Amino acid sequence: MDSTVGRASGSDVPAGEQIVGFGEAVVRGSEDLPAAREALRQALGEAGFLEACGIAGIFNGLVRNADFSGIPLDDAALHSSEDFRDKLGLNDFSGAKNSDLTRADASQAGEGLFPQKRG
Amino acid sequence: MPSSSVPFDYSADGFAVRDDVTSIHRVSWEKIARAGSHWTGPQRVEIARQARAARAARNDPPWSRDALPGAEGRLPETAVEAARTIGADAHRIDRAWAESMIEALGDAAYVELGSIVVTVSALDAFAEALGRGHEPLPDAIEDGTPDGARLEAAVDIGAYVPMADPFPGPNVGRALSLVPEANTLFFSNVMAMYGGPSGSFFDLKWDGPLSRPQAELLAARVSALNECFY
Repeated sequence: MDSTVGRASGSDVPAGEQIVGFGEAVVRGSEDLPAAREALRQALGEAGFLEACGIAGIFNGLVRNADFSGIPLDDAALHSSEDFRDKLGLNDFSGAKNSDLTRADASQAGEGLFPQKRG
Repeated sequence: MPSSSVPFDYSADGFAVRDDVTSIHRVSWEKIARAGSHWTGPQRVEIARQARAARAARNDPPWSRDALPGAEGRLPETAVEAARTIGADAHRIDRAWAESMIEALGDAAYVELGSIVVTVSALDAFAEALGRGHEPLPDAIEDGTPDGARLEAAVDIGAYVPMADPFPGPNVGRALSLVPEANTLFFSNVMAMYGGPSGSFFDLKWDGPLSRPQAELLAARVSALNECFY
């Protein structure tokens, strides 16, 4: 969890360190992007690398989509993220004002920010 | 700069990008070039140009982005500001700013503008991740008139703009639902780029080469770096 906000290397997930380093380099447009790209390729192979490029790309759109539309978190996500939002500092982000953080509904527990994928 | 004159010719640059991803990127460019529901083709391409330039300057402080291109009358100044802000500083957007944009542009035009910005941002970031140059923006199609379409049933759910309610998929999937064409433009890319070769963002299947923990770790890190609460 701490890996998402840069407090850990992501080493509890296979190739997590390379994944986190790649995501940071893409978002920041930093000079170490070529090295991060190559490290991820070595760790995941070409198919995994291409999938990661897709995720890094589309989430650069999804975050802007959420921010400009002001869409609030649904009750399920509000509840399931309640115990770590504050710990990770997410409640300090500007977009937190779009959601009523006191509204977490225990009856909606079980889903995540995105519902669990099946199949 | 990509090496081929064919749009999004990833294979020419040595990338084995899936055909469905390549196809939806090409379709997105074709759509941006044409009149939408609330903006003309030339206006839509200008929105894309402003968003791309602003995002490229995202690491510079807003007051030092003097080199951003002018819209030269192709867009209202408010639309230029909206495209640049969503492209480079979306995490700073608050309700007061959004309401000022919506008051000037209209809610549906604001949503359509945003859909173009987020689509260009996603495809540009994908190119940067790959190590490929940005795809040249499409030539605008001058003919065509915006059709004014909007989802009349959209309601206030507490967001800056009305949205479909109830909505049958992931909550974030309704953010652009006020303008159906805008929703399709962006979320067709979401479905292709975040769901695996036969998976789907909306039908909740997951079969890509990354495990779900790997995919979610990357998604969460990208979101946190963008200071996105959602």
